[in-house]
Amino acid sequence: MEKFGKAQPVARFEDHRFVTGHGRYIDDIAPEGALHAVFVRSQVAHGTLAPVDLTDVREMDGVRLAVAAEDLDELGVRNSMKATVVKNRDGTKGVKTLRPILATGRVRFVGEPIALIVADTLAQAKDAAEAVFAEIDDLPAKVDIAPGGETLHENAPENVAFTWGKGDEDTVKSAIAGAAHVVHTRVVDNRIIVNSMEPRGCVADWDGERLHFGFGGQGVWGTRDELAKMLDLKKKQVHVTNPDVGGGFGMKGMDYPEYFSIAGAARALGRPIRWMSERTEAMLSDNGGRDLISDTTLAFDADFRLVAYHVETVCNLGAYNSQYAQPIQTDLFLKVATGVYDLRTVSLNCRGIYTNTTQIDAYRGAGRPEAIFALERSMDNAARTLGVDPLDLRRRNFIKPDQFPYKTALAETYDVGDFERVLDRVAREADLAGFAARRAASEAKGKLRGQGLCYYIESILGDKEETSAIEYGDNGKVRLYVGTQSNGQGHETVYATFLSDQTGIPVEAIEIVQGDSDLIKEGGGTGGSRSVTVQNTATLATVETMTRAFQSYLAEKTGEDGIEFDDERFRIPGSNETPTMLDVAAMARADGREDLLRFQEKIELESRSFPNGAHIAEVEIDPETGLVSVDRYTVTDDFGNLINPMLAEGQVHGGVAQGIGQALTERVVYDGEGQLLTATFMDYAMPRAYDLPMIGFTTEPVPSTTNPMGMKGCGEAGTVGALAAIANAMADAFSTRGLDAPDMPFTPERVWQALQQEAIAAE
Amino acid sequence: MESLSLTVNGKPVSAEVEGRTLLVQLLRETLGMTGTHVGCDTSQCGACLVHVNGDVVKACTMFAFEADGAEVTTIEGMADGDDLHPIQEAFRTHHGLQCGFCTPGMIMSAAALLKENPKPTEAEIRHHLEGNICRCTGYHNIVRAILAASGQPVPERTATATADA
Repeated sequence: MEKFGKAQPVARFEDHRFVTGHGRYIDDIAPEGALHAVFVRSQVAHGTLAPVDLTDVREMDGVRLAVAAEDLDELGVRNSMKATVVKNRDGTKGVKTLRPILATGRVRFVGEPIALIVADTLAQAKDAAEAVFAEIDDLPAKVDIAPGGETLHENAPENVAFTWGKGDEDTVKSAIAGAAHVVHTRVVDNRIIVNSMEPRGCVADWDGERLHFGFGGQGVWGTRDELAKMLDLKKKQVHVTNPDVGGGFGMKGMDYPEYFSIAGAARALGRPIRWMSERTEAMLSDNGGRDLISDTTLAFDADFRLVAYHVETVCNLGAYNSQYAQPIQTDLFLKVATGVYDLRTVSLNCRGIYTNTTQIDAYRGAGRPEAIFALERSMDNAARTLGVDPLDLRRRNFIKPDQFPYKTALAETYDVGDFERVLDRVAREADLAGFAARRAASEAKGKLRGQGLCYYIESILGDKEETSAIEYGDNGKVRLYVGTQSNGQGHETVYATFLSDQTGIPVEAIEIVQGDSDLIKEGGGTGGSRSVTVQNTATLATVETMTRAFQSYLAEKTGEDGIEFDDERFRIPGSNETPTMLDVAAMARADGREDLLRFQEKIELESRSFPNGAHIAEVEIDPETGLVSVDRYTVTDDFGNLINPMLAEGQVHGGVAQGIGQALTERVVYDGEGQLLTATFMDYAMPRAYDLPMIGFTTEPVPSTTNPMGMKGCGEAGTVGALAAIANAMADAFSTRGLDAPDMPFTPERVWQALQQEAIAAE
Repeated sequence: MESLSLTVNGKPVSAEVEGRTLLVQLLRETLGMTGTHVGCDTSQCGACLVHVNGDVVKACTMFAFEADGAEVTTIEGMADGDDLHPIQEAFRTHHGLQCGFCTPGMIMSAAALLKENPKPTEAEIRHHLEGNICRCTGYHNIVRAILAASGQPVPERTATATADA
């Protein structure tokens, strides 16, 4: 491990600019004199839209351009967004919907863009947008997640987008029929609004030949390719950049219709245009997350060993296919559907449903939190139903250390793991032994206390390939070009520290360059907890190439063989000279050897790694108010080797908080007409500081064998584990009253109502 | 248009603004000081917190003309040259930020708290931050940073009770 980073909790280099107010987010970098874009959005969830007449609006003060769907042709912008579709169980393909850039003939959710207004000032653009009259003939809104209802898309009968499935259902059915114990569980995974603190925004500029498009995103190359296609440009005519990004969580990893109409408008006007979403606009138009219901069946033999697992899921897609929506509750759910258990007989079915609500797509974890929540909530329910200790039930079914590498029944091959060790550790850290006394103390105060365990595993995802380039500047600086994209995780610090550890180049001399499609040829962006593993593997390969090239060069210069590099200096036999990387680069520059001033390597991970760990939550419920407080929260993770433990721990804190938020406070409410009632922070309860406890964090690392650093990835793990930990703790607390817990989110009103069952039963 | 003069981070400034211009727009658009952020438009998130005549104010909820004659301090005015303010330093040292978007507001809020209550408890800090939303950190290290900035011991990596317990 020593070679691969000293595992120091180094404070972040990027923080100076953030704590002094000098971060450069998208709305901070609009070119001088940029015009302002505002969207006219649908105020009804479903209806027929008449052609939009913008003649009068175009005459309003300051208005430079007003565009509806009918005008996109003239703007040279294609009116259809791309999306991935999955394969159905019967081999046919999922439904492809036409998702327009601007609503065309029909509106399908509140917030759908109908027209784009570009004006000199923001106030003028807003005034003009308000003056637009969109004539909409209302249709009934479809908002529940079940087949049927008013049809949204002609080619999706019953509003079913796909009927996906994996695993042999007949085998699973017969295993269940012959099992000693069978437990059914309904798991409701509530919808959330992502709410990165910085909403989405972009800046577009056309210089006569090339488009520059800046946006708060999770990578630049995919968006560049898509802009080129949608605006009929050559890729080399499109320059895409990501500045500092105020949180993304998967939501900013997808393209949105606003980007294409604004880019087209900038080209038409030859002027820079800026757009910044407001909060309500974000809540109406950003892809949401989760929103599925899974009915699970777990079957056990007489010794409580798992013999079969079946899951029947329905998931909400919103009004259209978003870019990567269809694969989430299907192909990605599948990755870790069987969790950490030795479970060979399994089948999954999932139906995707269109509704008159905003699109659903990736949210932190994308498919893995959903799969683990379904499984771990079901395991907990089985333990309770069958009268088995929840830790014991899990231990009986763990994949054992000597079974690795372990090919799961339907998907991945886990490389390594030691789940018993992690579980032992978390039980100690969470003071399981002291729980009975804590519960008694809560009861003495008239409160309910519950404890919940979740043992999660997740798979890092995203592009397995990545590129690093190292370049020596003539100013003594070394630039490291990366293909990932920080959204706040601290990549600048991690990458610079890693390069410095490998080469002896002082961190002060290293500049990280990210998020620029002109300066960097390709990359995979941020997503799927991939960044540090894949980027550092690429950097390591580039350092190796550079070291060999410098050794050959020094050998040529000195006539000596056997030159070695010790991570800081080159050692030349028979010489007292011990040049550093920077020294050798300076010599090469003096010799005119430009070929030795830039190195680039591209790597591909041989396979994924599998972060795993255990979360134990303890909740206390005040039955008078229904208020739930998370009294203790303890995490033991196996992330393999850590590069910067402080930053990894920070990822866990944030991930857990997003999970607790979904479980306790965050409730999305659409009324029967498809109006979003929770469209501001006054109505949508983001978790506050007083909603959360300090989070205990320890690690029991088993280094991964699939990358040279032995890393596993840590960005999404906290969210993956938190949902079931909280839900299981709530089930435990409710069990003390002989009751079932309600569905998430456990808002005070819902918890109080559920506790009234007890009073009713008593009467 | 309204003419106004005020002091921002110790420097006198004058500007012509529309009546509807918000203080945050004056700071960001007219004066080019983009450290004060807009995160919600409805006074919940606190990304736009500044100090006006010593009071902590959400700059998205105050008209610019209401600041006529006032002394305004923004995040850009917290450091002393290259020397970070102790709260800024504590956020950096204790990893009290990730994406950084809520951070200016968090720091301005923490400064207001410590002025009134120099040694707040963990629970007091958590309740004080009611008007500041962070999506990245789970507040864990923000609370630790504010404890550190107040010169108090910082809890280490073990589970502790909640603020309400």
